[in-house]
Amino acid sequence: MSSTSTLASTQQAEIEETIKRIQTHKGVQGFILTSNDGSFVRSTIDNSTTMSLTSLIRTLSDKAKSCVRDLDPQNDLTFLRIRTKKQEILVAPDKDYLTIVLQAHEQS
Amino acid sequence: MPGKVAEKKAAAPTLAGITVQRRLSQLPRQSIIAGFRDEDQDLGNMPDLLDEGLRAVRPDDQLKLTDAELNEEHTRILTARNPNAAENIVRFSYKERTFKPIPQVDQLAVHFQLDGNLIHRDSEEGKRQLIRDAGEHAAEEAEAPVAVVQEIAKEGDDDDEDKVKKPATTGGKGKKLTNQFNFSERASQTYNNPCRDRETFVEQTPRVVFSDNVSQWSIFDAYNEDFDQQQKAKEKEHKKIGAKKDDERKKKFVVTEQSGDDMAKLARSKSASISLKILERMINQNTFDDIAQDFKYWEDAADEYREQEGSLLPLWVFQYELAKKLACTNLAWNTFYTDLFAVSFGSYDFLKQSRGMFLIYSLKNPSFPENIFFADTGVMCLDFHPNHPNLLCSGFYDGSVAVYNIAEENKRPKYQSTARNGKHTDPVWQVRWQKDDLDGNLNFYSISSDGRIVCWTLVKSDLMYSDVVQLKLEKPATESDEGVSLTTLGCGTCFDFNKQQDYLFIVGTEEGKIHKCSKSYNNQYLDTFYAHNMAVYAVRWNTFHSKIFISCSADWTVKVWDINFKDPLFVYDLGSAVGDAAWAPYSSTVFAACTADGKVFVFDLNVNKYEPLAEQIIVQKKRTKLTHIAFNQHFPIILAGDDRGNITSVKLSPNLRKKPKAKKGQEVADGSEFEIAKLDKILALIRDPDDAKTKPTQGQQSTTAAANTNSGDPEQELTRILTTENPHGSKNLVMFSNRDKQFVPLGNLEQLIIHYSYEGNLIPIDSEEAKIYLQNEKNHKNRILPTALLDTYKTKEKTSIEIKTSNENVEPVHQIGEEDEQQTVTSEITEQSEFNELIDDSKTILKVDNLLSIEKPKKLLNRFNFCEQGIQTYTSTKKEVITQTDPIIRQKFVGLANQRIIYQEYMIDYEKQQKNKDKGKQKVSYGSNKSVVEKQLVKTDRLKPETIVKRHQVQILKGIERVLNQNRYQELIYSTA
Repeated sequence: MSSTSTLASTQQAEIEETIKRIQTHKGVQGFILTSNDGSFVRSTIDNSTTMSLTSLIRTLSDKAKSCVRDLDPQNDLTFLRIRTKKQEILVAPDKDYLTIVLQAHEQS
Repeated sequence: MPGKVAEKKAAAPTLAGITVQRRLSQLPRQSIIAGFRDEDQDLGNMPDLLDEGLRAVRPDDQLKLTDAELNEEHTRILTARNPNAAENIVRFSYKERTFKPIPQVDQLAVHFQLDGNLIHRDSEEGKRQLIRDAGEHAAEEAEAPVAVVQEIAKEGDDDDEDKVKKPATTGGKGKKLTNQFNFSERASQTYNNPCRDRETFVEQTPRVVFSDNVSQWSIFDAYNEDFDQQQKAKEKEHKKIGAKKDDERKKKFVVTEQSGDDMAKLARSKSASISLKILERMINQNTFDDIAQDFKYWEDAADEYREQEGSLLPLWVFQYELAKKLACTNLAWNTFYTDLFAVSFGSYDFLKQSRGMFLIYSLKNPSFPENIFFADTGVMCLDFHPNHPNLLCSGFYDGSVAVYNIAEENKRPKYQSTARNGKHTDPVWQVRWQKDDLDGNLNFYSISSDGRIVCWTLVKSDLMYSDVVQLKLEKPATESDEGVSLTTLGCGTCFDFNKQQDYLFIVGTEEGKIHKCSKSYNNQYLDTFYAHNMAVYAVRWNTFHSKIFISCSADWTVKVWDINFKDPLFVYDLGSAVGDAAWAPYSSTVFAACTADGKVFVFDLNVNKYEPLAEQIIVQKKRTKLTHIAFNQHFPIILAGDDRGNITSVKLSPNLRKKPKAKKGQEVADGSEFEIAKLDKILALIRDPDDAKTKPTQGQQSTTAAANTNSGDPEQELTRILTTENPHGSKNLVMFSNRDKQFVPLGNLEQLIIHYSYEGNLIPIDSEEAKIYLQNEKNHKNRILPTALLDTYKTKEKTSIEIKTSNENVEPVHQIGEEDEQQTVTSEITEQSEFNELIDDSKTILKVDNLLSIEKPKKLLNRFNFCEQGIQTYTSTKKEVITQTDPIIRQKFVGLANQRIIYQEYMIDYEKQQKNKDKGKQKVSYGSNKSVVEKQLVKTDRLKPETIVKRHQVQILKGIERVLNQNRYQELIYSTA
């Protein structure tokens, strides 16, 4: 029991660290982590933006997932990158969680 | 009612009834009447009457039966069942939502039915009809329906026989009517069942509106889920017995797990961590996009124009906070995942030993290691198992070795040696996995400076050890006073196992010796090379050739050896302690070395035996030592680790991984055999120079090589001198880096004029010194060195001179072209000096010409007595001065923009010079003139709008291509490590 709990805690620390790294990474403007039942786990941007962004992205990713699955049921969507003029929206849909990162791309 | 009749009556009446019925259809009206009556009587309960009536009236065609026949009893049981009724009628029951058979079928059969139109005789209508009937009585008696009815009515009531006869005789008088309406059916009406409604109230069933989309994949998922459940159910059945306790425990476990906040939940979700990882890699890819692109697609365009040089493009630098103060002690690429590598960190400083660690990095995420393993002491070496990419063995500064499973979550060693089971007493310098032993157990070797080489075998949960070799020092010259010879052990620093002969391996020691050892003899060395003056840092077998190995040492040298020869084949002095040397996996002749002054050297023996093709400083800070180097098996990149915890990856330019072109008519040889042959060819030149000379194919280079190696030791000194830096080359050159947006110092300088370092002694003929020389020459005519050469010229005289001059004419063209290329690279100073020299050269020769014509021809022809000069001209003669540039025009300069600009400037400059040349030569070469015109055309074409539009489209296509390329790179990201 104790070993598993320590394992879980180290895992948690690891994930925390990964998130921290992502947040502090160059060009990253925002990081949102929501669970699929609608509750926010993490967000680094203001509430209203988070809300609107999440709801919109969620429908989009669901749609995209459905599209991919319809083409081939054994396939699945793993990642979604939306390249916009101002930034890039990285979406990692998942069984239980949806992770969104806004990254400004370099002006080149 | 029919049932009752059946009870009372015998069979005969029914029989009669049937006959009556049959007759109904056939007989005229009269008999119909009779029939009616019959039926009436039959239905009415009057058996006696009926009998008599029947007997009385007998149709003509009735069967005549005897008494006996009549009395015969036909027993027929009448049942209430209607034989014609269907038995299996079903009806849908709404209550039960099924079809249900109906048990009771309606058994009532109606054989005949006729609704009458009777009128009461006292009614108005009746009276009227009676009056009318009286009038028309005689004529149409039979047709009047009322009359008929009346008669029937009469007959129905009459008991007399007369009345029965009446219909046969007349229908006229019918006055005795008692029962006007002869309905015996009235009685039967009471049998109707009363109807009753029954109602019950129930609660309304709840209704919910449910809607969902069904798509192919949702169906697929549902099926899968179902399948899984079935599978689980099956398993459960299997496990049910004896597993109850476990279940309980599990339950508890689950409960404890579910408590906790969102983050904890997230931590448990494995897929979440994976997607986070992908996300991080993606972000990294975005920020390091240019490097990733370079990694995959950048090829140094400049390589096409230089023959024997290459460059190294720095890619990612891997850094980790906690490893910053530690030195990289070993690098190992994973054998299965080509993007994965492990780096061990420790310290090489004896006084500053502290903790250590090793990191697992992936190229996909250059900013952070995939895995981190900490250790209490410095990790000095590691090695990935070739067949089990998750197994990593490592050696530590405290002498222990350990085996890790890097895929496991807990970051503790799987196996570890302890003081009890044969741990080394000194730092372990190298570990290496070996083939599985006869029992199929994994095993690896380690070498330490305590002089032991130990084989470790992984047996179940234990690490078994056996000493393979003890590095005994040869007996010291002075024996110890007591006469007891103490065997001291040498210090092993590195080893490598032969790729073909399993038992054979070489060991480098701190004394500078290299021992050739065998796994089967642990007391003796097969051979010993006195290789270096200081500690050997690395020994490596050639990737392809099983007899060749390389060694590098702290005494600044890298040496290439043949296992069968005591002397090295090649020696290179790199000007600083050489930390590591490695053969390339793709070529037998390419190797790289890294030095303590932060440089990486790449050699290709096939191209140049004396100098590195690339020599570049790749560390960012001064006084950073490079400690280790490793080629990737798959990608053209090298990793170099330094003593400040940084790992730099550099990409090899095309020249550094060039494969020699197959000659015409030959098939393109491939694989290891070809590589071995290639190396053998070069080695043959070294060992047997005379042979090489006779070979025509070797060309110029081989003869010089042979000449150099021919003359033994002093010549070797010469080669060392040649490898040092070009004294004329400036060291502070910068080049604009597009990535960093700034000028960066250029590592690899062009070492152009090394071969011509003798040129420095050229003196202009009219200088003071030369005059003295000329004077001397006049005095001692025959004693001057170059006379031997001059003798040959004596015979040819003028013709040879012409050749010379023509050579000289061509040379400047080439030289200038080359010079231009270096404009950004080399400083102006060198250029100037080069020019001066050239000018001097031609001048002198011209002067010589003059002298020849005026004075005695022999002594002044070659004023500068260098036989090397002859070689010099040969090497530089390149007839394709013009053709060499031709393909450049058609080259699309896809890569860097500044390349194109440089090129254009070159071209303009070149054309100018060409024009000048042409003017001077005056129509000497038509070909070059033509090309100039063409080039101009090309230039003007570029500005036309059509071409611009085309270029725009090309740009778009390139954009698409770029995205595709990037996607190709992404496969790296998705393959899970």
